[in-house]
Amino acid sequence: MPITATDWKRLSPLLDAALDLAPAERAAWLASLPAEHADLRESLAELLTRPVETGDFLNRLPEFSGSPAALALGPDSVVGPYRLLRELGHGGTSSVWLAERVDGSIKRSVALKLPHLGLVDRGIEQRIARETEILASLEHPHIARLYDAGIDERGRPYLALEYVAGVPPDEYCRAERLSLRDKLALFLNILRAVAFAHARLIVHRDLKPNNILIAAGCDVRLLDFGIARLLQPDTSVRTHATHHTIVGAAALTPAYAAPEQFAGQTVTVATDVYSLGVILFELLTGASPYAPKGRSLGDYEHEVRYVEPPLMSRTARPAEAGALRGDLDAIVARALEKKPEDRYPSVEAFATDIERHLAAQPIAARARSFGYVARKFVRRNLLPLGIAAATVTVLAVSLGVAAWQWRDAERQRAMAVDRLANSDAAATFTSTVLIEGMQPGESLTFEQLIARSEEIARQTGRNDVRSRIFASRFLSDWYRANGMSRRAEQVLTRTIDSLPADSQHLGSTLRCSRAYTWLQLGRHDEAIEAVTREIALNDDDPAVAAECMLIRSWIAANSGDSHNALDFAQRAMTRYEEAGVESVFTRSELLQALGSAHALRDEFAAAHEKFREALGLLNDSGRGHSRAAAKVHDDWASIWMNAGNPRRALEEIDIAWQITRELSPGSLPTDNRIGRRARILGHLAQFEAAESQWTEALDLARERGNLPNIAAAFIGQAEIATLKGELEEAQAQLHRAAVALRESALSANHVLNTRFALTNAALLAARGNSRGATAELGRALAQYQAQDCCRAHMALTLAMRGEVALREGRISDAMTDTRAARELAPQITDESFSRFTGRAWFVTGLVYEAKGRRREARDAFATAAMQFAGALGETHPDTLLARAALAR
Amino acid sequence: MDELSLLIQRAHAGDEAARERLFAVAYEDLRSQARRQLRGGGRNTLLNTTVLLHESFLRFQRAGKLAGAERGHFFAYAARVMRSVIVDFARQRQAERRGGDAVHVPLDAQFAENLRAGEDEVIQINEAIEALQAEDPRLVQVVEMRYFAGMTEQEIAVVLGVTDRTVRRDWEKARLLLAAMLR
Repeated sequence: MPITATDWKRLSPLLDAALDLAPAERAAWLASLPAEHADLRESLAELLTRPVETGDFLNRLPEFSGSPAALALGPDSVVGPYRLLRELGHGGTSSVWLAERVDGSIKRSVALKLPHLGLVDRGIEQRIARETEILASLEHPHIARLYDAGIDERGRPYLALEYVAGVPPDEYCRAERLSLRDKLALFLNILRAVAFAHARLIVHRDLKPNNILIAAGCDVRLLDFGIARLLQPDTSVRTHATHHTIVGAAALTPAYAAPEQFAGQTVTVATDVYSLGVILFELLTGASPYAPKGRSLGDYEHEVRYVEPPLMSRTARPAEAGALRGDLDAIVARALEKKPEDRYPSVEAFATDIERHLAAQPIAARARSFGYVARKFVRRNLLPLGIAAATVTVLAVSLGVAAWQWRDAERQRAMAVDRLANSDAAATFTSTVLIEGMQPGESLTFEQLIARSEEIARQTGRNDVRSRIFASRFLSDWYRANGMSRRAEQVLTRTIDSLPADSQHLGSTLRCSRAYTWLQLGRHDEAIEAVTREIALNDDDPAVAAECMLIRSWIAANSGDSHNALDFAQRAMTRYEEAGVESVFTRSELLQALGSAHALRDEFAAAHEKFREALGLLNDSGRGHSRAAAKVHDDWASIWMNAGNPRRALEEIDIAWQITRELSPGSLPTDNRIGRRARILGHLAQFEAAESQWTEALDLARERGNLPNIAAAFIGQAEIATLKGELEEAQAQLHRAAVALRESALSANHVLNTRFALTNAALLAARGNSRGATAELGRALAQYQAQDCCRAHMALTLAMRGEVALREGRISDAMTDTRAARELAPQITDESFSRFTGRAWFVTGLVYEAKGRRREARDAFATAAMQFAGALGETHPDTLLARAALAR
Repeated sequence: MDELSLLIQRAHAGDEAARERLFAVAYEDLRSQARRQLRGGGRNTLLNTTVLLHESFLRFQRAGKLAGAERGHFFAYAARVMRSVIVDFARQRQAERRGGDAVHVPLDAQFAENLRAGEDEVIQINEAIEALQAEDPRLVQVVEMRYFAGMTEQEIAVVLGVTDRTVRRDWEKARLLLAAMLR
């Protein structure tokens, strides 16, 4: 509830009283508030939970910085040794002025480049000192000189460049009405100048028409060589902001930057090759190779990183297209390859191909990427497939390409046809399911949607095999996501068995999907065997191989096999990129698999990074509010739970929840998600909310016959009952959980089995049965050890065992366990807190206390309190307990 | 003797009109200094309110002599001036942005985003303490001096004639309240 200024008169003295209490005493104080203040209790509780979150809040005035508009530079302003004459240009990162030296020592006009101050980092002074000399030595008739650079007495950096009066190449070509040959000759001059700089190990990084000026007589001058690097903060410097972005790394020109620049990867000569490819594309066609949806950086990033550019001959006006088809298409396509290593290895190689083309000799790009061109043609032109095939044939014969290359091209073509058929099937499926028989304005419930899909999946006559496959996948995914693995398995098996003998290869993805349902049905070994076979069979189809490898990674993750989970996720990503069919959804799934695998290895920082990337990808492509995005948030919540931070987990799962609600307001959340949220709430000690959600999850799980989720709900309720001291209730719930677990026949190391053991141990410990608890914790430890994962959970288990040992007076056992717990717990960083780390330190504190080492005990409790407060909240019982211990 | 030290002397001697005039001069002084700092583009172009306040104080100090009580008033008043300077600046920037400086520069996005968030924060804090003015003027003064003018807790304690501990408590309360109000 919002707190208003008028409440303040009454709140203020009460807040004074509360702040005088130790944090541990505040909850009790709040509870005993006299009746006349009862209405303020909620507000007070809200105010008092803030301190940790508000740690830095308002401690500094936000930064106010001179914006470009407020810089107030004008004619006659003096910057360092220069007086400004008139502004030549104004861009995103700097403004450029015609200027001359104040002292008149050298009579020449310079182009004085003044970076916008807000974009300049502190390192610029060192970089200017380090690199100016190298850049100043770059003397070439086609490269504009850097005369001088420095920082003036007011701290403003400036770069004095040779002033060139000229126009960008596109303008020049238009004005002079250059022929194709002349344009290419001009471009070759540009390439030679770039090659000269490259030979001196200087990469431009920001080549674009505005940095290439053509003076009268076709005299080429390249501007700003190496300047981009000078102005860019070292990319290794990251901000402390918890969410995204590397400040300054965005200093690129979206319409000309290479994919690796958007990705923040290493910039090499291949980066310049790419930008030159874009420039050539534009010079020859008069159009950009991109068609971004908007003008934001994200729109461009999507185009540049993921969308195959069209062939020039398809973009140019018909009159000019003929001359571009073939060699020039291939040359530009090679320069515009997404991966740096697929482009021309050097600007010279680029230039050589253009020269060979001008001399009518065979070019390198053509031989190499012939299949590529054909493939792209097929991909972009869904209708004239027959023509494409014919073109491939004619080209292959007339060029006399080697037989293996021909086979390669043929295979690529077959795959393109395959993909087209698949997308056709998808379209058929969608239109049949969503549209057929629907009245305008009528809406479809999810149940109806499922029923319609079932119908398609069953039919064998009317619709095509692919539509059935598509429907089966859709259905099985849905059934599986809702814990109905048996139904999913039935649907898949039915379709697999009904595939015609000549379409067996189409069933690969279905068989991999089925293997995953087998895993959920407890048929672990069969699952691995099936997927392994499909991966081997589809080695030559990267898209299918990637899909099966992703499933293989899931299977590994599911049984805690972190090594294979990561290995297969990485291989899946490689094969997927090889397939060259970009889908943000698939990529985000792959990133999620990578992130989850990292989390299994307790590499939480890496895991969070992958999830951040997946979300960034979905957001940038306008899919931030999709079901897929909800899934990422959902899974991220699980990662936070595994890292021991239920607070962050709650944030993520609530975002997922909200997205789902926005997408389909009437729909019910799944038992999976409710259960996950219930568990988070339970760990945050919000018992009432947690209990009601567990009940809800249990009802849903029962309705759907989802046994593992039924077991999870019983375990969750038992956990809460134990924490509340209702031990009989806890015992009863655990009994029910045991039955459900036996029925669901999960693998011995399944996470639910370990969770059961931990909950049982906590209950035994609460009942004073230390020996039973120790044995149960030992079993849980053995399960974790068998899985090569979950160090963080092992830390918790060890800390619990240490606590039991301490209670029995076995201090040295307790020491051993707590030491191991501290080592296994997530590292203490400023960014993330973990209840596992908190527990390890809390029990450490108890051990020290028992040994009479008060100072060490205090330090340990302080660490524990901080971790608990960050991961669980300031008023969580664990936090209060640690604080109370600290006050002893 | 320049006008300033004359004013200070007269104000010191109890001349009400001179005191008003003195504060008007202080207002102008701080405002123009802040603007210059923000526009001029110093080493890192960020508004350093603490330096600003102390420089201004030193100029006054040099011109004449501010006696104990006056010194306190000066800082309290200067902090209020600083707040209005900063808030005006933030509003002006928001208005400029809405006016749509048409050039779309995606490169600046992150930087602009940070600035925008900062300006929004300033304006929100200002509105929140405006609402609080009638209920708890001392709390508002603490926010002005601590947040807007960047004064230390000791300095604020001297100005308000209370203990450090009271200032710390007030500041803690103010932050809790503002955090809740801004949510």
